[in-house]
Parts: sequence; C-alpha cells; structure tokens
Amino acid sequence: MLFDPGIKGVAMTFIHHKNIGPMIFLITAVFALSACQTAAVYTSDILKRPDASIKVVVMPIDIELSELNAGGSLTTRADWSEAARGYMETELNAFLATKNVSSAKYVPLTDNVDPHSKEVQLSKLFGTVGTAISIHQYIPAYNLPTKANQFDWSLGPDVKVIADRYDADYALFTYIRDSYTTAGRAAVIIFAAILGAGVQGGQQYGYASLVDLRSGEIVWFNRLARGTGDLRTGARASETVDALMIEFPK
Amino acid sequence: MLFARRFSVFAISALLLSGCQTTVENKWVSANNTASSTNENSTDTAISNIPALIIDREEMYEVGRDPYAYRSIPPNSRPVSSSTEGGLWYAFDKAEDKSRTAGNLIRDDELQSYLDGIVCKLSGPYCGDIRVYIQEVPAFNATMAPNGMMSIWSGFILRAQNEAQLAAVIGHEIGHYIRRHGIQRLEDKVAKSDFGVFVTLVGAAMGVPVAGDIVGLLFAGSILSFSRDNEREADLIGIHLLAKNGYDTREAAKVWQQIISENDPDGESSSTTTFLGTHPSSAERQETLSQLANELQGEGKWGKVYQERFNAIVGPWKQRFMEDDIRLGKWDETLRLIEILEESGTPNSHIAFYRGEVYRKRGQEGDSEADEAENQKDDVDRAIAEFKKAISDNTSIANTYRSLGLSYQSKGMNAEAKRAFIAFLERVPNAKDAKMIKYMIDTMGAPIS
Repeated sequence: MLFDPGIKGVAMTFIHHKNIGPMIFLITAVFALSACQTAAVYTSDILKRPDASIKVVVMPIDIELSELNAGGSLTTRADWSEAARGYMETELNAFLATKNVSSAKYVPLTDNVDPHSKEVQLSKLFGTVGTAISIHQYIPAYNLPTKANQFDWSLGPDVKVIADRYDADYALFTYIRDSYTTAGRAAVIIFAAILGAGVQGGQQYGYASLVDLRSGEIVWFNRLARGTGDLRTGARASETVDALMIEFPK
Repeated sequence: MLFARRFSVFAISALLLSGCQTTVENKWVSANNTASSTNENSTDTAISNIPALIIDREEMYEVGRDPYAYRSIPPNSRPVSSSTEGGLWYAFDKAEDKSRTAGNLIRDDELQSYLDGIVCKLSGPYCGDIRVYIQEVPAFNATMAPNGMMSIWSGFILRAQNEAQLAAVIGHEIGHYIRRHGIQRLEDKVAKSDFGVFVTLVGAAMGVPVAGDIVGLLFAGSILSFSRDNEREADLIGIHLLAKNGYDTREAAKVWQQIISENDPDGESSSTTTFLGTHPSSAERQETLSQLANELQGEGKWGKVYQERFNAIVGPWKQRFMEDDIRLGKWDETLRLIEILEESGTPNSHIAFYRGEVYRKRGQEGDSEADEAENQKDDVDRAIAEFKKAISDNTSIANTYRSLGLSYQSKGMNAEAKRAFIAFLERVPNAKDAKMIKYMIDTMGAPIS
C-alpha cells in the first residue's frame, strides 16, 4: 500500500483512501501492459445534431493532483487540485466551443444525500463503467470476449434526468489523477538509472467520456496514461485537454 | 562503480534536502472561510487538560517524549490547502461525499441525533467539526478520518452495553481528530518510505542485495509502534473526556474486556484478529484504562452509564445488528457474542432466538469439521428447542415463528411448520417475504418420507 493516510479506528481497520489504491494498480497495469499511446474509441465520429444547436453538460471533474515522494508514496495537493479543476473547466469549455457545441456546468442537487436519487446513482455508475472501460478496452490481457470488435457501453436510459434538467444532448464525464515528481524522487530516478534500474516518475492518468443523454450510450471514450502533461498552471492545461479530447466527434 | 558513487553523493544530498522540507505545518483557516489565522496555537487549551496529560504520561510513547511536536487542531479550522494536511483533507472530503450516499449508511433521525449528541457533548468546541456516519458493518469498530468524518459501525453499536461505552469509543475517536493522527501517520509513512528507498539504493550500490528485506522489516515495525502510540494517546484523551462529562470511566476498560472475551476467551493470543499487532494489546489497554479510571473517579465517585435512555434508543436496533452478525457465518464467535449479550441483560427470549438462528443456519450450511449429517440433524433439533424456549415468553421476537417454521419444515414436520408460519403472519402480516410464506403454507403437502 503506497498511500494509506487513514487513522486506525478503535479496533482493527484502516479507512482506506477510496481511489488511490486501485488506481495505482491500474496505472501500473496500464503502463506494464500497453504502450503509452493515446487512442480514443467511439461509436460514431460525428455528433447527432437534431437541430442547429447542441448542448453538452460538463459533469463535475473528478481530479486529484499529487506529489510523488522519493519512496513512491503520493501526497495529494489540494491547492493544485482545486486550481487544476478550474483550468480544466475553462479549457474544456473552450474546446467544446471550437466544436460548435454549447456547454453547461453540472451542479449537483443541493444536499442530495438520497442514495436512491438517480443523479447520485448515475455519477457512481459512471465511475464504475469508466474504470471498466479503461481496463477492458485498453489492456489487452483484460479484453472481454463479449466486447470484441465492438464498443457498446451504456449508462442506461435514466440519464434522461440530466437531459431534462439541462435541456441537453450529451454529458461529458472526466476523471484525472496526476502526480508530479519531487526533488527526492528525481534523485532516486537518476540514482537508480545509474544502477541500471528503472524507477517511475510522475504520471498523468485519466479518462473522458461522452454520453448520449437520450439513450445513455457512451458514444466516445478516451484514456490518458502518460508520463507528461502539467495541470499546475493554466497556460499548459490546454495541452492536457487536447490530449484527453483527441478524436472527439465533430 | 566510481561513477555510481559520485552520483550517490548527489542522490543522498537530494534526499536529505527533501527530508528537510517535511517540517510540521500548523497553518489553519477558519472552516467557514470567513477569517484566517496562521501559525497560531490559541486553542490547544480548548480541551484544556490535554497537553498536560500528554506531557505527564511520556512513558506511554514507544518513540520518546513528546515525539510528534504536533499541535492539536484548533476548533472550527481546516488546514490550508497548500499543505500536505490540506491535501489529506481534500482526499477525505471526496471520500466523505461518497459516504453520504453509501448504501450501508443507516439513516435514522433518532439514532443519529443520539450519537451526534454524545459527540457534541464530549468534543465541546469541536462539535461542529465532527460528522457522524452510522454504517451497517457487522464488526466491532469505529473510525475517524483526518477531516472529521467519524464512522460508527453497527457491530460496535450491537456490542455496546450502555451510553458510557459508546462515549468511551467516541471519545477515543475524537482524540484521533484533535491530535491530528491522520497527518502524523501520513508524514511518518512518507518519511519512512523515503528513507527505505534511500537505504535500498545505497545498499544496492554497495552490493548488499538483502537491504530491501531488512528495510521492509524496520519500516513495518516503526509504523506499528507509531500507530500504537497514537492509540494510547487517543485512549487517554477518550477516558478524560468520559470523566469530564460525568460518565463512568470504568466502562472504557470494559469495552476492551469484551473484545478479549469475544476474540480470545482462553487467554491465548488468537491470530484471528488483525488489530493485535497494530494496536497496543487489548489486555494492556484494559489495564491502563482501569488504572486511569481509578485515578480519575474512584470508589464512591463513579459517573453514570445512562442505561435507560441507551436501552430506549439503541435497544430496538440490536435485533437487526445481531441478525447481520449471524449472517457472517462465524458460528463460534457469534455464540460467544450471544453469551456476552446474555450476561449483560438482553431478554432471554431474544437470546434464545439468536442461538436458535445460529444452530438453524449452521445446520443448513453444515460444519465441515464434524460428522456432518448427524450434526446437522442435531443442530435443527437444537434450533427448535431454542425457538420453543423463545416463544414461551411474551417478549419474543416475531421472526422466531418464521425460523421455527423453517426448522420444522426441514425436518418434514409440515403440520408444525404450518402452525408456526401462520403464527408468524399473524404477527407480521406485511413481512417482506409474506407472499412466500403464504405460498409455503398453501403448498406444503404430506410429510416428506
């Protein structure tokens, strides 16, 4: 366990960080089993445009930026993460504008803690489906026989609740985990390289997904897994957004 | 190799320099972002006796006196977002968003406000900083996240015998929060894994391939001792909060006594519990807490346990949580727990129902260790005997009739099974499985030969 800041409870169990553990595994698996190239998957390279205007709801960006310490542990940086969310929002809106698409920012229903709420369930479902796609679509060893040569993932017709609330056609979901090499880690990398061993530096991992709000189908999906990219400054965030949104439908 | 050595100097320097940056930060902003104060430590005295307690009890630390030099978190504060601690809170704030809509969250206004009330009373000025989530998890635990998200597990509520025991554990968790054990653990871990990779690399450069293993052992050992110190500190704060609020301080030790009798009834160290290595031993904690209870209150000065209001609010939940525990299929542990509940005043009819359920389910699933067919038959008979005992009392749980019916049915005693099912439906006409029970009543034929 690389990152486990949880406090012991009175008896026996850690609170585990909810995302980092599986993600570390995933990142390692992704890097180990596939090259770091980016390739989007999609059902169609054009967007359905029922009328002249088309609207995409930008769902809350799930983002964490962290520092990669010498020993391989990660420490989340709240300030970087919060700023990066802002940069991502700006750049995503700018990107969508170039596609002639208007965008709306999704705002969660206030204090919605009803576990049966469709919107709550949809955001959880997307997390699960997004992770599944990034594993089964991108890592050859985990390809699913039933999904061979076809890309047919769906969140189901309940996505209509989002379509109705925003009068929108599509929803864009994004997930980013981005780590940055500290001075200590850089020293380890150099030293290990001299000894002939490879040690990983910071990585940018994430995915984006476009969901058709009439059918629930995921019409476009792309994954990022690379050792470059920088979301700490607004100036360089557009490069990450361009890489993330590659082959986005017209 | 010479080249490597030259660079090792550079690498070591870089590591040491990066080590220098990990000084403890104490920068806070007001939790509601209206005002900010930095590097001020005005409220260590908020729960005023805590610093003194810690200095007085340096023997409780395995790694030396005042080992952390961490200030307590001031009330109504959160760490600045540029700090490591701010990052830790950010991550846990996101985790908390998920907890709010978790499927196993128990949403009950009465139980919630009861537990919130205990938290508020104990934590005083920190009341607004701690949020309680009641989770249906059949294990004896409660947890505190660095950002003030406290989880109370149903398995603990089931085992608590009075309000003072609830307060003992809640006070312990509050101690983790106030003393910032989350950031302590994280920074300790980062520092030690940094040191670990450094030793490994230097070892590798010098041709010592086993260095990694040794480092691993040292690393694990020091993390555990660090954790044990945190637990002792939290125990100490917890029992002082009990005393300060008029609770009977003896109850803190009883919580540990119960863990011991449930997990290790013969006094032999059992390997079935994972907390033994990372926490001070239950026996040590029980002993220390008993001693503290005597110092803080003592004969004739014991506080209260608030049994009546505890029974009124928590009592009705115990059946559901006990049934969760039975579903785990850990028959021996569950039977011991039932014994403990029996000694602590749970109605006999309930105890008989729980025991019967364990026998009934064990009979269904079998016990691989023993002569199966014979044992299963015995278990069904044992279950029926317990259920009969349970329904001889008007305090019995309605589900007893359903379980009795199922047990008779498995023996082919259909007439008796029907009578029990009918009695069940009379008591719970709207049971979730009412339709299935009706169907069984209608279709049950002659005894299976």
